[in-house]
Amino acid sequence: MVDTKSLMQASTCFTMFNKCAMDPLCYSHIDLTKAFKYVDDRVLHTLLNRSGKQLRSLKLGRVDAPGSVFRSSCLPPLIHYRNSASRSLKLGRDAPSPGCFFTRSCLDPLKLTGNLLTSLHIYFLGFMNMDSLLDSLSACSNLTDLKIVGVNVLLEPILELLARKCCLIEHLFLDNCYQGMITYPTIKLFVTNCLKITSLTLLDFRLNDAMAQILVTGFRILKYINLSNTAGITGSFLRNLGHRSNDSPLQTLILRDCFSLQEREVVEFLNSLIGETSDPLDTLMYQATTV
Amino acid sequence: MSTKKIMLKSSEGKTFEIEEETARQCQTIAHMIEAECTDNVILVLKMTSEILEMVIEYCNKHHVDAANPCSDDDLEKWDKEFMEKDKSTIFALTNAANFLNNKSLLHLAGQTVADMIKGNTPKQMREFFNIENDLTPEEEAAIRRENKWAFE
Repeated sequence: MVDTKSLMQASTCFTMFNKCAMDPLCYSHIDLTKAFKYVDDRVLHTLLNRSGKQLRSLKLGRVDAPGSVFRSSCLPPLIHYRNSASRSLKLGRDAPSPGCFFTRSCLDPLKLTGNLLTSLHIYFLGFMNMDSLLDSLSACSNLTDLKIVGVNVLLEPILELLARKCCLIEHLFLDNCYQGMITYPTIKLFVTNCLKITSLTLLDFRLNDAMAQILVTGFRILKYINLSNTAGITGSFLRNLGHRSNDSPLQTLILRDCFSLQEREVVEFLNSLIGETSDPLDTLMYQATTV
Repeated sequence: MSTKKIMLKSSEGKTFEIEEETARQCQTIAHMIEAECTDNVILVLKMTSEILEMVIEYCNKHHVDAANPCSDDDLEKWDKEFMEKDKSTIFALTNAANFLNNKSLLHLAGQTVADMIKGNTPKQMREFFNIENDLTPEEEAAIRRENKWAFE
């Protein structure tokens, strides 16, 4: 399988490739991250129509937008900007608009084609219409993998919608660059309804220890959780986790650039792990830096 | 009790021994085995010794069980190294996987080829596959116009 841009290039090679490129199966996995400069709503709509009932995954936007702060557990320490305006200011240039060719309702076609979609990744599309996005996601009841990075939308309504309409979700990656709030009822609903979550990344959310505890202990088959850039947690939620690690399938816990994280809490947590007869937690990464 | 073995013969007449259960990863071979009436099975396959040996190596590695443990990650890493071959060999392996109906090897070889043409221009793709363009200039222009975004 090649990315969708390469597919179009191949379709002009010769007749047989051109015929092959018209098969709906060729559009079951639409990846437009290599063609971010020129695609727009019309292009996306055309490709989704070609996929017919075959659409399974969709990737949109620019993965490596200039000026973006890429977050990964393997990269050097993060630089934390508190909001988009200061991010733009400190970078000394205009905020990037890599997805400017898409309208705020570019995902509307998913209302018709998203039924069997299992994977959706959207990167740096800027502002999107909230209602439009929610309506589109509502149609994707078979979604198991959702990734939203660099999109200026409130994420709490998305969590709530996943809990109500997309309960099969297994891998969730949300980058809260809009700095929206999240509430207890939404977290509890999410934990209660999305029982298949195995991998959870919530970057830049304003969570406190009680919320973190609900997330870390609430999912029965959670293996990976990344709550980096969460300013509100001190680490007290680790106390209970340390005493029940034998019962938890959790393998990876990442808490990078959590500025309020107390070293004392982490040390006690690690000590409790060492005291266990087994150590299912393979990876613990934390890093508190001073701004 | 030793496991049942079968012999595979290449187009050059060289024979290779493989466990029957391992060979059954190739649906074509599985069907040939079922069609045979004798216990001493010798299957003649339309491929060179070089390619057949690679296919057997792949099947042996992918016959994962208690006696031959291998994690998914290790298998993926092994696959990647296994496919570090020249283009003509990869094409031959793809054809072999298709003929033998070995889905995992066909997918691996096909994806390897796909990865090699990602980001290429049509001209580069034609050179890569050694094919001639039988589209008329008008047809090609129409395709480009329809998918203008991919040719900017």
